Amino acid sequence: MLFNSIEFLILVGITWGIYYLPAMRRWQVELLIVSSLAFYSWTNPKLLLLFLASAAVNVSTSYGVVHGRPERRRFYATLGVVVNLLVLAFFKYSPLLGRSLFHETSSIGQFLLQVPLPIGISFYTFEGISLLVDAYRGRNDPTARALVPQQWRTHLRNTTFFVAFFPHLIAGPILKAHQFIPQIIPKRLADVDWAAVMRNLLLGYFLKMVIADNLKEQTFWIASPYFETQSTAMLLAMLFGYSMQIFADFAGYSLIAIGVARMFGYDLPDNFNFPYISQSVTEFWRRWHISLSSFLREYLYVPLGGNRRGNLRTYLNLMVVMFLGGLWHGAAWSYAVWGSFHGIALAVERLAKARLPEPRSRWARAGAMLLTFSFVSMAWLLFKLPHFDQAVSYMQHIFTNRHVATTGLSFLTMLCIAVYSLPVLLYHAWYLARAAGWEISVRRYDFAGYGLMLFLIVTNAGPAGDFIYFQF
Amino acid sequence: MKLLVRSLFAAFVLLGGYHFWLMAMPGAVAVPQGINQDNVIRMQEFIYTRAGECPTVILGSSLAAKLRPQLLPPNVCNLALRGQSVFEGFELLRRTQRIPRLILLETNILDRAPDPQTIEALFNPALHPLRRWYPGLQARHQPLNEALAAGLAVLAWLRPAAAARIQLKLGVGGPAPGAALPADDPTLRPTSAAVVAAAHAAYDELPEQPDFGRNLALLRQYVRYFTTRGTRVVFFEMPIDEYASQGAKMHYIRQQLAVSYPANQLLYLPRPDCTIYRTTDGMHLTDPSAWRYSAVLAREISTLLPVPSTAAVPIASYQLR
Repeated sequence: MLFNSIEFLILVGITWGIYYLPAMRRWQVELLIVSSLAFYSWTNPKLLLLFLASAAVNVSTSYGVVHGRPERRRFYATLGVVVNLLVLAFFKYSPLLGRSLFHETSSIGQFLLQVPLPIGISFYTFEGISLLVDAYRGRNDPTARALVPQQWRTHLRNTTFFVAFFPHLIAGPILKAHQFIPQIIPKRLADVDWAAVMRNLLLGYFLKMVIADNLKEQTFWIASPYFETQSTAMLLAMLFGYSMQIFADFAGYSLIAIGVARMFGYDLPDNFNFPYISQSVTEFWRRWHISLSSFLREYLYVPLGGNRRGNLRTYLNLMVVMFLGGLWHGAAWSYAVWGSFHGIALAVERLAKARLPEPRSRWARAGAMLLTFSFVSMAWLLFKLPHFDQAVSYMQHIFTNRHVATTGLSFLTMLCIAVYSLPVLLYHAWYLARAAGWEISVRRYDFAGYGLMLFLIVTNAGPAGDFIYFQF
Repeated sequence: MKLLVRSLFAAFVLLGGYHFWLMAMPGAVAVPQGINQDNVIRMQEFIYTRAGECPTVILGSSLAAKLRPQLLPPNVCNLALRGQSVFEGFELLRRTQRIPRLILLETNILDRAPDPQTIEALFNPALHPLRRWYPGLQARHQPLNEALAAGLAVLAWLRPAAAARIQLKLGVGGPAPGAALPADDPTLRPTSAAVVAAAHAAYDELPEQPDFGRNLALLRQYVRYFTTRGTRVVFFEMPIDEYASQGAKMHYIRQQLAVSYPANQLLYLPRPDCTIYRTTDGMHLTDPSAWRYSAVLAREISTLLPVPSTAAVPIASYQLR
């Protein structure tokens, strides 16, 4: 069910209409669980079985971690994490293994290729792991033990709700148990911050429907071998447009998720913080898909030793984390290469940081920003083109297609890319405006901006399409 | 809450103002921003504006979408959709309950399956009636499209030649009657050999089964639906690269059609001589070739269905080179 579909609006409308009724106060969480399961099973009800089985494993093992016999707690935690990882590995990476290790015609190869990818699996398995690790780490701490209440029914309800809550179920933000479960208390309509709800929803829908869906039309020709017919200017413009598109698509989704969750009284963590103003790849990962990068840092990088075991080990840890982070995005080696590129960049930056001066002048900072943006944009090619050699070929054609004429229609496409990218650039400029103290004078007229966004959502939306991150 | 009310008020003011703008100064030319939108504009124009004016309809894919509307009789609606099959066009006609007198059916991409989402989005129960009532919701009238159309009008004033070239692409203007049609540059080669090779490879393969069988069954249903209501259905092939036109796929499609529709049942237009046309990528005609084949097709249409006297351009008056 897409966030921009009529079905979703009806589901949210009905659920919200019932949610704050006084008679429902005791059953608010159960209502959200039912709505979430309806949301998840809308297109393929069979996938609900896997989801429920995964939830059952997390409920049982996390309960065992906190309330089981002390000598078995480590076993429960390990079992839960391993089952989550196996489920993720089997459903997500079987086709990759089938293609890489077996011949397509072999029976094992065919079986692995046919394993379906359940939607949202990368997100809900990670959230299950977060619950288990948080529960295990805090097993002796009363506050952390509250994540897994003694009463089995309450724990079952809380955990199912934590992984199933529909705004974040399909594509995040990835929740951590210690952030979300303490919020599960009865909610009151009077506590809803409507201005925040509106800001998140309008900006989210605007980014998705007006920017991302329209840019998708313009970046259509980033497809092999069709990009080979485009001029250098067009190839560069499309690459820039895809960078804007992927941000608008995913940030839009996250903002809608945050806005919808707030309608029901829950705060989801911010997932983006103006990533394209980053002056280094390290900073980029503090601003892009924050819930994933903080998850990887907290549950993978730190347990691996982080930066506490010397330089070489730190670089290795960075590489391992980013390689796995890349693979998390999709079952193709191109994602692993994408992650490795980022890992190398992080390691190189760390190495260079000690030897190079910090950029201090405005021009040096602008240069660092441009360099980071260029690197990130080039790396996005691996998201758009499924094979590494195609991405390399795209880069080659940027240099070799200088003789290819830019046609009138290409100019039109480039103009559209510029127009649709402008709001994303302005959005990032807003960050700089805030830093310069212009916020108050702009905020006085922000209703005009939101009114314009709503007008454009109604009149200038692109063809509705899946969110890019749904595939992960 | 104050912010919400103010924002909603601002949006309603903009929507109202835009409606009056469209009533007073709609853009003269539809400027689609991309392939999908081009399709949507074609279909929405048919639904909301032209449905009653089209005794002849062309159904097809991106190949037939290259036909130049300037050369076709004015009462021909080209519902060939880029990246889509003939079935979306059939379904559009069926849902709008329009029974044309003549359907010209491009057969090159009969192996492409229908995409039901395209039609469902068009006939969305909430938006479809709203689009009729508030034209600002139609793809053609998106604010950016209107701005582009206005920009084109300004360009036509500042640099008429540049504007004319763009308008030509958008289906406006063209060679004066009696003038020669544009000719292909004999030295021009497709930009990418890989794209041509991909096209050849696609035409070297037989259509996939059982998908193609399903398509043929669906085709039979639609053809029966329209022919029993008095429509004449005529098959035609768009010119493509000569190599591709001799590929296994086209042979198979011709063979299967001949079995289902012997020549005495439905009419087939003469197959084009692909050697005299040029393509950009092995499949799609270059602009000059598209002009020339449009003139050929226009002549065929005039023999199938006489052109009404309102036709703005005498079809046979162009010089074919």
